[in-house]
Amino acid sequence: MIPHISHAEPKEAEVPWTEPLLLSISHLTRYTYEGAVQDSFNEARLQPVSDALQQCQNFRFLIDPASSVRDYPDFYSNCVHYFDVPEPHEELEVIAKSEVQTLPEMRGPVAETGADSLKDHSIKEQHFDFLYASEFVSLGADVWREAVDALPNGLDTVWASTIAIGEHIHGNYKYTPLATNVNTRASEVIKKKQGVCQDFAHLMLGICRTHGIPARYVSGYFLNQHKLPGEIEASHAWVEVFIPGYGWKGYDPTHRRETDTRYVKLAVGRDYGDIRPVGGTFRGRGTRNMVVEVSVQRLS
Amino acid sequence: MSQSILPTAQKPISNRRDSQVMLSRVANSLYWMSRYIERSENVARLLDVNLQLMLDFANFNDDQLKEHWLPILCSAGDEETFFRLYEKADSESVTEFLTFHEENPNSIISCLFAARENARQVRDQISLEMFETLNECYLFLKSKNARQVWQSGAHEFYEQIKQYSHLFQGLTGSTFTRNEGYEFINLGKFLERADKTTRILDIKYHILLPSVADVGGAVDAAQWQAILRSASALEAYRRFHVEDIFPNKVAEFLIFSTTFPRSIRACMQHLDEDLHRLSGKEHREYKSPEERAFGKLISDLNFITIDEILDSGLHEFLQKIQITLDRLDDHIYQEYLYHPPVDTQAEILLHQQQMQQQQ
Repeated sequence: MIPHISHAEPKEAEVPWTEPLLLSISHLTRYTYEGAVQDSFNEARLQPVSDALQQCQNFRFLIDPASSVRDYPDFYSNCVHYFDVPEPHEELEVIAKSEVQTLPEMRGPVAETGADSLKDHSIKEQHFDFLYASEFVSLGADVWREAVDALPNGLDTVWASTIAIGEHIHGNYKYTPLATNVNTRASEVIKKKQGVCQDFAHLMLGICRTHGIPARYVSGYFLNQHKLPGEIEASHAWVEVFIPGYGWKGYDPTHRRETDTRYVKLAVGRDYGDIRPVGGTFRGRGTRNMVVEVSVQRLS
Repeated sequence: MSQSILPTAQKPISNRRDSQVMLSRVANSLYWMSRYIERSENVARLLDVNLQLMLDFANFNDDQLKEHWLPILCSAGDEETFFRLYEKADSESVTEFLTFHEENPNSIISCLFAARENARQVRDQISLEMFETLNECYLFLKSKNARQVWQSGAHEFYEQIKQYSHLFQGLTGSTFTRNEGYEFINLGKFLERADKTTRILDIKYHILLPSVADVGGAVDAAQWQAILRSASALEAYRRFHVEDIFPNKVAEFLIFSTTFPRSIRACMQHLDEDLHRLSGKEHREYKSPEERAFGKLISDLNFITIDEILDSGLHEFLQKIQITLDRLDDHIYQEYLYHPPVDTQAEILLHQQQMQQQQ
């Protein structure tokens, strides 16, 4: 058994929440630079998705220094906000505030589709991006070995296999903040046997893809009701797997559970690199400090 | 789903003459070109008048001579440099030092060389006539002729210097394009002029603290008259005060006159207008502590009386003006003329925005 280290470490295996929640989310990112920088061009993926599981009811996107913002959908239909700050500035602050109504799963119990259905060529073609290696998720021998260990008896149904992979990661990897960084790849996580949600999601993507299960990276937030005092909140990450005849279904390996009404989805992609919350470039001496403050409050 | 965005910063409303971009370097050269010419003219006038004044005091001994010339040196703040180069302060050494000595940065020759050098750096920005005037003046000063003219009669020499200055300033008015550069030329001119008028008036405080017997006497009158002539103000003063030359009236005239173009107040009003044109601020709005101190001084001049100034000390009052003008000069430099060295490394280097880990 792995010792409990932080909030992300789960309690007992839980029953998924089905109660609809109204969540208020605030996500602040503040960059302080070394002296003045200029020609800053940025993209943010911070607007919650509106779909069958959640409705984004209100969204405000604030930039300081003031800058005009335009938005467009990216390749995976995520909403991207683009803004630039050409004039010299020493600090950049990006605030996204939203209110999201989450809704319970209405598709019924997860379809018990067998793994054989994944061999369908049309599925392979449609989900090509989520079946093969990407920037953070390599599909080398190390991942393959881990994939074999995760499912020693081979594939069951797609969903049962997903859960087994998740349990494997949860049981063998230790949740340790600061052991890894934002650039850590799945293969390093296997070496270190520890990491945070981003690493677990990447690892799970690698194992799922090795087994031929289309899996994508999800960036978002979740309502954390067991916060320790002084604990830092950050954005969360989990995975979604594609179940033929059912659709995409979310699973959070960090907490060993399927996603439910506590989860708010921001964007999906092959891995973190596709959907970093705030990314961009600027000209200048560099960044002195970055502050991220996330808060998720339950309104009703 | 709604989305709101902070309004973009409002463009400041500008009352500038045009929005053409001017390099700080160009503004700096125009400003100093103008200041140096005005300075040389004032030094020339001051020396001319004081040399003539000496004709009335031919029997001065060394100490008296020193007493007469030292304040003139002090008024330019150059007494230290002077005593490094000369032993005693008499008519010859002081005029030589303030006219020809190239080691004195405020001598006429240094000022005009510097003015011409500044003009040369912005040769493409000023008119041919302006540059040729300065260049002619430069060639005259470099020639042996200059010293000959000076030795055979200093008055003619200083007259010549003043005329170059007048010609240059007249040509600036009639041939220079009215763009931001004109404001910088004016700032340089009026700031220097206001400063020099305070210094000319302050000389009286230094020297002309007369012995009791002389107060109101012929000597006193001659010396106050010299002050007026040093500021080209004698005729203008006479229009206001037909009778005698009274010290308090002279001080009042040189400080407060709104119509005489060399009075401190008149110069400051010009400065005020040009500063506002440059900053784009509304009338009576000031944007920095230095500008506010300057604006406050203009307001003070509207309310304070000469008697109050004399009671609390003319010298202290003039010093206050000099300090305010000095700080204004600093502010102009920081705000418009100084371009911080560019860190090319930082300008070129492209960075990725730091990424946040999802936990």
